[in-house]
Amino acid sequence: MNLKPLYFILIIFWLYILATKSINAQVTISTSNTIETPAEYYLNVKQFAEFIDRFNYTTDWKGNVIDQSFAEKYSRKAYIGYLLNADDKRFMNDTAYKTLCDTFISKAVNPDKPFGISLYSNQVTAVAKVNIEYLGKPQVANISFVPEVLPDKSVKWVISSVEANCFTNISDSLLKYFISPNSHETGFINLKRIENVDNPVYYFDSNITANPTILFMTETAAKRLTIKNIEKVSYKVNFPGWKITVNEFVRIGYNSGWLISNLEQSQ
Amino acid sequence: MKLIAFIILLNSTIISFAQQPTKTAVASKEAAIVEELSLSAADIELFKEQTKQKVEEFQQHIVTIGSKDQPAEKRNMAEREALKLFYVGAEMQTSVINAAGETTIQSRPMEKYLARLKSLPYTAVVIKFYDLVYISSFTKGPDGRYYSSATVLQEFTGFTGDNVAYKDVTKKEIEIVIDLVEDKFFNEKKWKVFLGNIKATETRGA
Repeated sequence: MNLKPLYFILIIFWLYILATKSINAQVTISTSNTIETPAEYYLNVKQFAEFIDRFNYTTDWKGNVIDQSFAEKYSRKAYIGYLLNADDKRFMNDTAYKTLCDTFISKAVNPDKPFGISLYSNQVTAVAKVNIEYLGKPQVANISFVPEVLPDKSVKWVISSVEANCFTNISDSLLKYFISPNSHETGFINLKRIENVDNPVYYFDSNITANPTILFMTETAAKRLTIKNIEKVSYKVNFPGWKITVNEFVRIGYNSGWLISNLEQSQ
Repeated sequence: MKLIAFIILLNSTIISFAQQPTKTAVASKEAAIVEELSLSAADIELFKEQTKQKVEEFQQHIVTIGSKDQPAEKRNMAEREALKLFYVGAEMQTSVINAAGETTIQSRPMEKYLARLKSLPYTAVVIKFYDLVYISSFTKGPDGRYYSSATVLQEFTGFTGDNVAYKDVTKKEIEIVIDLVEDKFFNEKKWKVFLGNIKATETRGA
């Protein structure tokens, strides 16, 4: 993908933004304390919701619903192209990746079966890099979230999995807390031991005791784990045969905000 | 003195009753919203307008709190009024990304953030907001409230004497919660916009 035309068209878009007045999702506030927004902040993809709207070709740079005149000037193919991280070095030296991007965009805009993003249809996973404190030491956990739609059409994010390498101390406890091998002969009377441990997970099978998602849950309940802060969030979006990663690029310029940092083919 | 207070009270009561038809109309419309599974375009516009007003109010308070040339009493009042816009327990998380790409994150309760804004180590502080606010669509949560987020951009300049000591542009993501609250005066429920946690990311340092 040659990026020079991309920047040229971004400038054209900037001129378009200056020329248009009406707004929808993006509103303007005029008070004595407000100043005119620099053009790059209109082009900046400010929220993941805005990324979705632009990918789906539903709203223009200012949040207006895309109309015929906009569509005549700017194709969906070009519009999706601007959602790629233009600073990705692979655009300079990796022909295979450039071809992959072109193929993906062509597939995405294929009129027979265009790609779209729906936040609530099992297509999107958010992954948060979370700084935690576990047993008094700073650690990192990658927590995946997915949206869950309830019967009344309300929505919430739920934790789908946790990746962390800090739960190694549990192996000592597994040697100490267990149900003895002949316990079945006494009708598992010593199951009562589960009431007196700091974490009942010790008595479960190794698929559970080695599962960081469950350990995150139980260690949090045992007050041995605290959340310090969320360092960053990225989104994984699946399409038939494709997977993209969306990250926030905090920088000045027309190509900034929530952009595609990687795309790959999937099974 | 009592007479003046009575006149003010009477005046405000008359104004309140004068507004009643409008409030009732809005409330009955809003009550209908509760029964709906998805919001209509008109409902979204109503919420968006209320959100815009609340964000604007917050921005004005921030400017007043940060202005060292304003009387302390006025700044304190702005601090108290700003806090009323938030849900109890709202936090401000600030992220600063340095040139090496390292991120420093700090979380503070909103009370502490606003109090700190009054005592920054500059002789003068100028806070301006860009006129752009991005408001995402509203989604119903399991508790029946509606949730959204607004993005605002703030330009901060701290002066030491006549010199600019620090300048940045910060993007603020503000959690928006629209809750159905009881208006005891009118004995009815109405939607009210609250601000929640804020994630602030510095996008441009001086």
